[in-house]
Amino acid sequence: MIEVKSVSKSFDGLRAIDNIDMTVNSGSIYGLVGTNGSGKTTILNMLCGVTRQDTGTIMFDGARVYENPAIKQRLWYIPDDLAFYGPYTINELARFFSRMFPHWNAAILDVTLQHFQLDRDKRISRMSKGMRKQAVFALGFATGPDYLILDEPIDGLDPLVRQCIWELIVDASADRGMTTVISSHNLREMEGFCDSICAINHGKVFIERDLDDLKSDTHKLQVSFGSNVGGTADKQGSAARTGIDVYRDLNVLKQWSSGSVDFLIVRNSQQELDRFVATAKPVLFDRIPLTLEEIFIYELDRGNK
Amino acid sequence: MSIRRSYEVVAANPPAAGNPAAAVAARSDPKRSAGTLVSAAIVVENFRRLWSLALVGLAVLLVSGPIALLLSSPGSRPGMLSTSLENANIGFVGYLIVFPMLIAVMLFRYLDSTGKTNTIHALPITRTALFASNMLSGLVLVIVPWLLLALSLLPFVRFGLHDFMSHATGNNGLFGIDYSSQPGASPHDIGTLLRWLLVSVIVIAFVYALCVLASVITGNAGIAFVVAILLNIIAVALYFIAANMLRTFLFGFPRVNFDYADWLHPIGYLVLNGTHLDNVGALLVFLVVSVAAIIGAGMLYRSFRSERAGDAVAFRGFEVGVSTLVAFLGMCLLGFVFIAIDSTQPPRPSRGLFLVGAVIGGSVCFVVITMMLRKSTKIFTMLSLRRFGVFVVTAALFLTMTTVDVTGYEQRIPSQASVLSATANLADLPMLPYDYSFQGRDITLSDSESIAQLRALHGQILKQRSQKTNENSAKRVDSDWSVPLDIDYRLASGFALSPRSTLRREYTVDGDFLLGSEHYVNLLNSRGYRQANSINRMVGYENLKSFTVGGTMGDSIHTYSLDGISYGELDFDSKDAQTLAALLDEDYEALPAQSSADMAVPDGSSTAKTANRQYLLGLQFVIKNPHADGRANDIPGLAAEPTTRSSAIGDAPFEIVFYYGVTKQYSRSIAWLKAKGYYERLVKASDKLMDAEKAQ
Repeated sequence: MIEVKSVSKSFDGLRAIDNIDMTVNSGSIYGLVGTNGSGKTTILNMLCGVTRQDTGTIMFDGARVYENPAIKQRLWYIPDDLAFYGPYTINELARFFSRMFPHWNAAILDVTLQHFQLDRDKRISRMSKGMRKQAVFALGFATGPDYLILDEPIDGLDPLVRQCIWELIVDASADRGMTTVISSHNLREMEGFCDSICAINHGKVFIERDLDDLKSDTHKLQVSFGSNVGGTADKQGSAARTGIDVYRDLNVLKQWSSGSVDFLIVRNSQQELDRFVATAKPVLFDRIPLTLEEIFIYELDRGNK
Repeated sequence: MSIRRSYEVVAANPPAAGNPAAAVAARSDPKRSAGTLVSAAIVVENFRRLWSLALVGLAVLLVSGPIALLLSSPGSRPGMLSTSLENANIGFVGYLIVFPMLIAVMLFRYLDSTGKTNTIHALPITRTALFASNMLSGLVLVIVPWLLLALSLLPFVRFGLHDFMSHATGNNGLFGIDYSSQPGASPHDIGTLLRWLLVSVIVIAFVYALCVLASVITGNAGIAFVVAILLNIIAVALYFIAANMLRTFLFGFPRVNFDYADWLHPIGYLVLNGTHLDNVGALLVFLVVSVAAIIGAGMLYRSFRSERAGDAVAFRGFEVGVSTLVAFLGMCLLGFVFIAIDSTQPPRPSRGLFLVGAVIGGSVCFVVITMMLRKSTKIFTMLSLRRFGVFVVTAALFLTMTTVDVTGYEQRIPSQASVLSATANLADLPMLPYDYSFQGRDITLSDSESIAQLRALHGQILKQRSQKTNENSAKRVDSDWSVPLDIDYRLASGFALSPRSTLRREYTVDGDFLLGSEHYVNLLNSRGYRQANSINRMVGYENLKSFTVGGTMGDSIHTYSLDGISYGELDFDSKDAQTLAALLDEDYEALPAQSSADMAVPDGSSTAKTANRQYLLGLQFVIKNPHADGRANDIPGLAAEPTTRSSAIGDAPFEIVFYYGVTKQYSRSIAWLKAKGYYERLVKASDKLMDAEKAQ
């Protein structure tokens, strides 16, 4: 398990990470999402022990990660910038990592390289972007990590390669309990594979939940109470028509209307929605499932307001 | 087969992992840090990456050393070996300076890139171990070629350890080498090689340590070279800049000398001492500094912030230091350049002109270095302005301390009671009895009368200088020649821990001023001075080999063929020389007070400017010297090279000589010469010699 508690980090007076808490369960795939410059890479750097936090603690199974080679031997980090690997061939890197990581498994590397069809004697810098990431993934899996930290690893890759890499990650999580923390802008893809989501904005966490819980609690509703008898056509919304806020019992994130139909984004449980329907008796009530991307946008919008 | 299935197959047949024991330990106790001080993986990887550089270095050394020796003629080989084993070999020195810098920068070059830095710092190794691994692998890469060079030089040296503690000889020039010697068989043995190796390793360690520090401070390969050079030269530069500033603007401040160069940098040590262990203290200081630099670099590395990777200077505080230092050096250099190109050449360098150059140099250098550090031309911000302010304050303090006499230094003359003795080089004017024979030689005065006269002369020099400053500075001082006058007072300081102290001043004064100075003339007439200036104190009677007639230009009967005078006629043996010298000393001490005209030497020019009516004849004394090639041996009072030598006619060897002018007042000496029957011949020959000199 990875536990991040009350962590803050500043750079030259700018508060990059502001008192965040995160919990990553063992064997789960944890998605880290956020706007550009929100602090995702900073968090990942702290998780890998590259950067030390100013306050708070970051623990891997109860042990701090910074300056702890014992933890780092079980951790593999793939940054966004693969400049380190450029001058080397896969063989050279394999020799180096085999000395650094005690769980190194050359057979895993052979299998993965065969599957990806990569040339072991070719310099990484001479490979395409996708092949570079495949190579780094292959090397990473050969170290047998318990923790995989990925900074936008699959952005820019073709669908086939992305599919393959997700397979590897999911299988490792399922089979041997590997814990993965992955950051990406591709929320649709994250939605399909992540167990938990942490959304960050301006260095603060505004969502951190299991994905299923998040999606089960946040809904998009279409509600209508019909046209107001004797009412004026230019009055919009139920409040305008009825004079009362019928949605006061709902946790409305966003609301807008089109004619007599109200559109709402709410965060309520199914039972609460059932209670609302029973009480308010709308003429029209439709629940539309939200994507992670939509949830993120709405939550972000609400946070900014 | 899907990749998942492949993994299952592999998992069912696991091969041996990299380090099973460490793996088990790491899994079972995650809290325990499994790091070691040095990572074999990092070291091996550095060797793999940089072995070709080390090979190039080795090639440079081998070509400069043993290969050059093998290709040289057997006659020149000992000299070449000496040169190499004192590191006066350009290939060796080039290696000592360049390769540690190159290796250090290459090792820490990854700090230039955020991606590389993050990946490396995510590896399972502590910062300390990472730094130590990089540092040690670099040290090995630099030192191993040198060790191999040492092995390759073994066949060229003899067996034995006698030369290990040898000191540089008295006649050595640069790099502790005695260039005047003609070595026959090589004196070098394994002891030489070991001492050469020891000193060289210290040099390498020092340069390398500072370069490692520079690499960590900057985290940028390009700037690292600049900072590495800066760190290596800073002590030397500051010393010589400060000394030159003080010498230029403080009247009497001693000239810059290189006596302390061996403390400032190991290359300075090599230049002064070669690889001799003449200054073990300096070598120890270099070692301590090297260790301190490495420790400092390690501590900085531990606190290196990865977000600064790629910046020109990784630590903000050092950015201020680097820009201030570079601006400071530029300020002083341009200030000196402005003084040097001043064509009017007033009596003193213009402080105003220096300041103009300093302002321009400091500003330009500050702007340029800031642009380099920021990697941008947009540097005119409040932050830069504040840093410039720091530099201006520092520079103002320095310039005030070095160009203005805030402590009363210039006017300080010790009290008579506090002076135990005084030393001065008073032989730089053409005065009797020696003319220029002992030019540059110091005379030590310990009696109160001569010390009082010296102090009075000192005061007169200061007064004369302050009078000159009130004149129109554009007016040139009409003086034919200037002479150096250095005064060293040995004082009773009265401090328990330092019972003696010294006060030294060095002046360049007009020759005419000195000759016209009452105090100078009184000093030369003082009993203490005459005693210190006697032949016995200067040379020692026992060291006199012979005497003959001599001229003021260093000539003798060996120089000119004089009509009616044969070569052997006027060569008198050591017994006569020693007897005459004793009588001359007695007469000299008993002389009445002389005026400067009485002490003037006939200068041999066609228009004799200083005709001395008391002048009688010139003598040339020859000093015993076991070395046939004319090198001076260690004779009291003859520490400097003599200014005159007799030239060989036929097979006559070179000899060390000095001139002695006899006046008519040397009654005892004249009586003795007459009694021996030498007088007439000597006077006649002396007159002919003077005519011959005038005719030239």
